[in-house]
Amino acid sequence: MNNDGMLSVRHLSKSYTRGVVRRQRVDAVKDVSFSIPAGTAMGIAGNSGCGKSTIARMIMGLIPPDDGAVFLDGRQISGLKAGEMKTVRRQIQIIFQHPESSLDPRRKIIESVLEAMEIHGVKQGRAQREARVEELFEMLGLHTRLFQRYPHQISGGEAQRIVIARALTLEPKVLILDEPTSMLDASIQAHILTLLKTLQEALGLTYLLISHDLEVLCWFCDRIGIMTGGALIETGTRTEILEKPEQPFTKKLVESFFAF
Amino acid sequence: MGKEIKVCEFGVTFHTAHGPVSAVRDVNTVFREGEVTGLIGESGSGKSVLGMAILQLLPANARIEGSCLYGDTELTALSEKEMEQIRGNEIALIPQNPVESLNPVLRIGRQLTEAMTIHAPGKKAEAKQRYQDLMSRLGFSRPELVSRQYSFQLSGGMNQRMIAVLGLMNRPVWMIADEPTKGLDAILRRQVYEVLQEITMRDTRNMILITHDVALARKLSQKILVLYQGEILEQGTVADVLDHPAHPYTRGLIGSLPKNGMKPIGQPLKGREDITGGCVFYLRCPQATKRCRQEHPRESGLENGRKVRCFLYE
Repeated sequence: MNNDGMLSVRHLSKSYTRGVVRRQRVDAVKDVSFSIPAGTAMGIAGNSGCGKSTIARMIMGLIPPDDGAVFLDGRQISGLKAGEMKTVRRQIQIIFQHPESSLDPRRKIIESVLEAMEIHGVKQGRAQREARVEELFEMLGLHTRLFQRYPHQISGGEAQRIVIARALTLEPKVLILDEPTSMLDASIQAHILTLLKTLQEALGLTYLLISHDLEVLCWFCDRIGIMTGGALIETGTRTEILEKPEQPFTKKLVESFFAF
Repeated sequence: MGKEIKVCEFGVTFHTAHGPVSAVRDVNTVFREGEVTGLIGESGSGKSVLGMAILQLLPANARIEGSCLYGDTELTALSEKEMEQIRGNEIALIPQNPVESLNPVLRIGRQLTEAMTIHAPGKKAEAKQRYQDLMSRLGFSRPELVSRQYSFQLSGGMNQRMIAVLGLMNRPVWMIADEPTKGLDAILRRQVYEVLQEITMRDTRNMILITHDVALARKLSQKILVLYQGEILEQGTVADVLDHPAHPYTRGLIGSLPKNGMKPIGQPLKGREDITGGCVFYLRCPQATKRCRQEHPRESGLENGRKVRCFLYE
């Protein structure tokens, strides 16, 4: 496995202990390596609790890996100091499953979006920053009257697009999408994923999409990895995973999904 | 005596600090016996509110309008005490979010027993036999052991099956399943599907399935109701509604599924944002005319019992 992709992880591992009396070691992620070439999308599928989101959090530096390393555009980003990590965060952003918990309930939407730009020193002055947010809102089909609303006054689909707009204000190279549409409905999911696809082409973004929906992954991603029990057991193209799955778990996952 | 559920000019309004909010309006439909009816639509479309309104499990600020006949009993006229005899006994619920629906400080067995003894005190032994049978049928290999556990000791899939057991305890005539597959992975989703199929084959075929999972609704239902912003825009057989959708919204919804190429439904069109009073889908409808902006469409009857709320089918 080489590190020459836009985003690469090598031998990433994380374990937790659980229980008070009988302490048990749980391997959340076991020796996971993959590399995503610039401008492409990789998907990770697996059952609940297989370690998908733990990988996302380790890539973002939100939890430290026990072992292994994360590389962004060839540079190791795991183990950086807080100050160095700040410059990296601008280049790699994450979108979580529950957009409503990504927005401060006591702040107006525009303040939450501008804060990210202020922290990272993107553009000078409020007027320039607001103009950029307006452009991004337009691109994502959001009305600027949402600026003055609070998170409880908007729908889930709007909240998720606002979170995406906020991430894009920083002009990142990589977006980690952790189940971005699994709590949304089919029509809103279609809208958001189509937008993300268009943005990928326009801005040359690299994506890591984590989802348990194989149909979504097949539609969105160039390559798909299958995880179970913390290990990445198989990666392949859409056709390889759907038509020639090698691992029994992949077969079971594909069969379960297409039983409908 | 027939035990169909018939709702007429049915609606639910929430009285909030910011004024009344109409969540469900002008619903006219019959949930027929021997049939699974799928209620589909986006979140916020009112599908769960409609289901919960039948059971009168709504917050105190909700007002129900219109009629809901269960057999020849008018449910909206019943007292809370009388309604308690309907809930669980006659019409049972498999609620959304199994973990929150089970009591974390009571052992599973006690909760299952209570579901029966609350209606029939003194039937403790019978209740135990009943839940052990149901648990074995729904895939628990050691019911005795699991019944002594707490909900937090069970996996998400086990809890999901457990609330199905809970719903079936009193051999209900009707079952309402509220979003049974929301947020589940492919393997758990298939398990839930198999449980619901087992229920329709062995316990009761009378089911209302509330879901945003169109594939699940297609597999289990015979009839489909499509809700959007509190109104039924289309209702008919599964084959009619899902394979040959008539209403522009249903067409958009089916087209936005991943297997149909994920074509999004249009967003509110410029200049239409502030329009109210016409068709609820006017803002996003690609086929809207001037009339849709001013006039509220009624349901038009088509062949095969299908009804569509759209001027295109008048």
